[in-house]
Formats: sequence, structure tokens, C-alpha cells
Amino acid sequence: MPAKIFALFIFIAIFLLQAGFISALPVPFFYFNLPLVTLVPLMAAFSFSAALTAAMVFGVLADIHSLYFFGVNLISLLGTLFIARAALIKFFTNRSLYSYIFLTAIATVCFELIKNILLAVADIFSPAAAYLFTLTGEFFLTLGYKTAVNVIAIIFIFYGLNFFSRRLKSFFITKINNEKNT
Amino acid sequence: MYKFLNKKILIALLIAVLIIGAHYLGWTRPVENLLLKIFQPAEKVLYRAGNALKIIYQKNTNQHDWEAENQRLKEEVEKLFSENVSLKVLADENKILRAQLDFYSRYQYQKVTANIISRAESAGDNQVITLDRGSADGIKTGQAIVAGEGAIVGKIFLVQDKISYGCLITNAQCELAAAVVSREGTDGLAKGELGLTVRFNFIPQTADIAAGEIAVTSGMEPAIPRGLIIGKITEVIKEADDLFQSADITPAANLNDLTIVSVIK
Repeated sequence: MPAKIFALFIFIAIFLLQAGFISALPVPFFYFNLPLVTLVPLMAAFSFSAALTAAMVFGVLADIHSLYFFGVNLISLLGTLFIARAALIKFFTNRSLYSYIFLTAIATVCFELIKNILLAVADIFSPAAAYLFTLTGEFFLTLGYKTAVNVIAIIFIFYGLNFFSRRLKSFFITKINNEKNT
Repeated sequence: MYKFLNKKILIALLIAVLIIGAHYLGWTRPVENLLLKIFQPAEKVLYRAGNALKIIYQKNTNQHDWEAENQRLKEEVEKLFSENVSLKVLADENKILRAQLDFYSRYQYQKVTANIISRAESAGDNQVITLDRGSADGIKTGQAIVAGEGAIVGKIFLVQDKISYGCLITNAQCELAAAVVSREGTDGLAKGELGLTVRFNFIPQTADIAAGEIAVTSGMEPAIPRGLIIGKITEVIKEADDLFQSADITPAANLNDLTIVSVIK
């Protein structure tokens, strides 16, 4: 239980870093999405339950602060997590750098697309939502920057995790011959 | 398929629906306000740290060798510039509205001081700021956000109980009723361009304006008083066959290092 409370505080701290610190940084650091980048190793190397909890915490906190309608960040993060999880199960391993790079790229693109599609839908019902959102070439250019920045960040995170933990270390799958042993 | 739609995912979806439903029913409002209140000091500190890093980064990338001298002169110019515009505006108002001399006096605005706690999310740029004051502090949509000595930096466009959102004047979605100081018949519309400058549109062709003049708010918007400095006109674009002329404005305030602003009520 104390570990779970500690994890909750860490998630809140990550969100505050994103909302306060990273949002004030200059471009291209401003494009870094720390909560999203946290979700990928959390899902792949730790547990899916932890990633789900983190997504809920990040989503709710982001929605409280958001100028868009409540729920857009929560739905986008959960949707992104489900897609990234499906991709991990179907196509990737959870111990290779390439997997982390592709998963982060997939997560970034999915998050931005889901969020902006939801905003476009909301746009029909609420003129306030249309205030800032435009699906233009600039949007896709920004998406490219965001993906690149997040991918660079995940490379550092991967090597960091690899240095401090054994979770990402490679290992041999050995077949145990039960007959011989008995 | 069972791997993707397991029990955990269904529970998470159910919780998400309940949270969103509770929000729209207003049940979570006190908790949300409490969380905002708890997080605001930390966000303020983190924002300032981030902003300080941004300033250092920008200074290093610009490689200003005569930085101190430049800074001192800038401050002096800004001070004189504000003083000059204030006097011009007051003189102008005196002449036209003698009977209502105090009505537009620059020093009688009711202001709410607010900290910027975040640069809010938006597609493409960071031209939206989040302020730690909301409708509970008397902030309303359309009010002017000012920095330093009377330079308008943006406009409130969305207000919640404890926080509000303002678009910066360089945001393409931010529009202000503008005029050239001490010149009659120069009313137009200032709109952000590319997140860098402000384009002053719809100025009548008959209006005589030139580069170097000062653009201020015209007072045509109900929540924004006349005479708040927008910036200096750098270029006038005038075509003989157009109904209107336009001009480029360099914002008076540095929009990159904002931390504390005032909202004029």
C-alpha cells in the first residue's frame, strides 16, 4: 500500500512537471510529453495495471487544467494506452530499444490524433472548442516534432532504466529437461 | 481479442465514464477546485523555473555580447516609451473627453494580479497562458491581460472558477480593436500572426500612419479600455486598389518571459 501511495505521488509530480515546468520551456523542449513517455516503459517493463492507474491520474489532472472539454485527455490517454498495449502484444518485445522507440512514436501519434479528433467532434457542439484547433499542415509538422522529441526522450529513459534496473536486460530462454533432473 | 479487452480495461473504462459523468453533474467540482488550489503553488514555482531556463536558453542562442548594456537601454526605452504613450493618450483623451477626464485615466483601472502557472496546450505553438485566477476573482471573458507598464499581452478567452486562459496577442486567434495613438480615424483590428508579430488590419485608406508610430487598444471592445499599448508599427502595407491598409506591429512587451500579469477588470 505505501508503494502505491508513493507511486501516486510520483504520477502527480510527473504531471506537475509537465504542466508547470515543461510547458514553460522553449520549442522544441515544449513539445516533450512526459506523462505519455512515462506510460510506455510503465506498460512495457512494469505492469499494465500501473500504466492504467498512471493514465487515469494524468488524464484527470490534465482535464482539470485543460481549456478543452473535460474528459478529452483522459479518453485520449486511455485510448493511446490500449492501442500501445495491443501493438506491444502483437508486434513488439518489451526489452528492446527499437520496441520502445516504435511504441513511443505510436503512442504520440495516437494521442494527438485521438485528442484532436475528439476536439473536432466537440467543435460541432461547442464553438469554444473551435477556438484554437485547426487540422492543418502545421498540426502535422508539430506532430512530427512531438514524436521526434518523445522518441529522443525514450532513448535516454531506456538507457537510464537499463543502467539502474535489470528489467530490460536480455536473457536466454532455456529449456529445463525435467526427465534428466528427476 | 480477450487479451485486449480484459477485466482491467473494462474497469478502467467504467471508472473513466463515472469520473466524466460526475464532472458534468457537478459532483467533482469541489474536489477539482481543491486540487487546483493545492497544485497552484508548485506549478507557479515550476513555471518560473522553466521560464528562467527558457530565458537562459534564448540568451545563449542569441549570443548577445553587449547584453547588460542592451538590457539597461531596453528598460529605459520601455519606461520612456510607456511614459510617452501614457502622456499622449491622456492628452488625446483630455482634448476629446474633457468632461470625462477621469473615466479613462490609466491609473484608475481595477486590476487583478495573476501568476502564469502554465502554457496551455494548443496545436502548433504555446501562445495560450493559464492564469491562477478565475471567475471567483472577478475575471471575465474578453478582459485585457497587461504586463509591465501598461502593455497589453493578451486577452482572456475562457474562465473557470479558479483559473482562466488567455491568448497572447501574437496568437492568430487573438483579435483586438486597435488604433494608432493620437491619430483619429485609424481604428482597425489587430490580430496575431505566426506566433511572432501582430498584424493591424482594416485601417481606412484615408488614415495617415507611418512606421515607428505606436498602436494602442482603441476602446471599441467593452472589456478593454482605450490606450493600452500593443506595440510599435514596423511596416505599413498600403495598396492603392485596396479598401483598407494594414500594418505590422512588434509587440511592446516581451511575451517570452511573462510570469506575473494583471487582468484589467
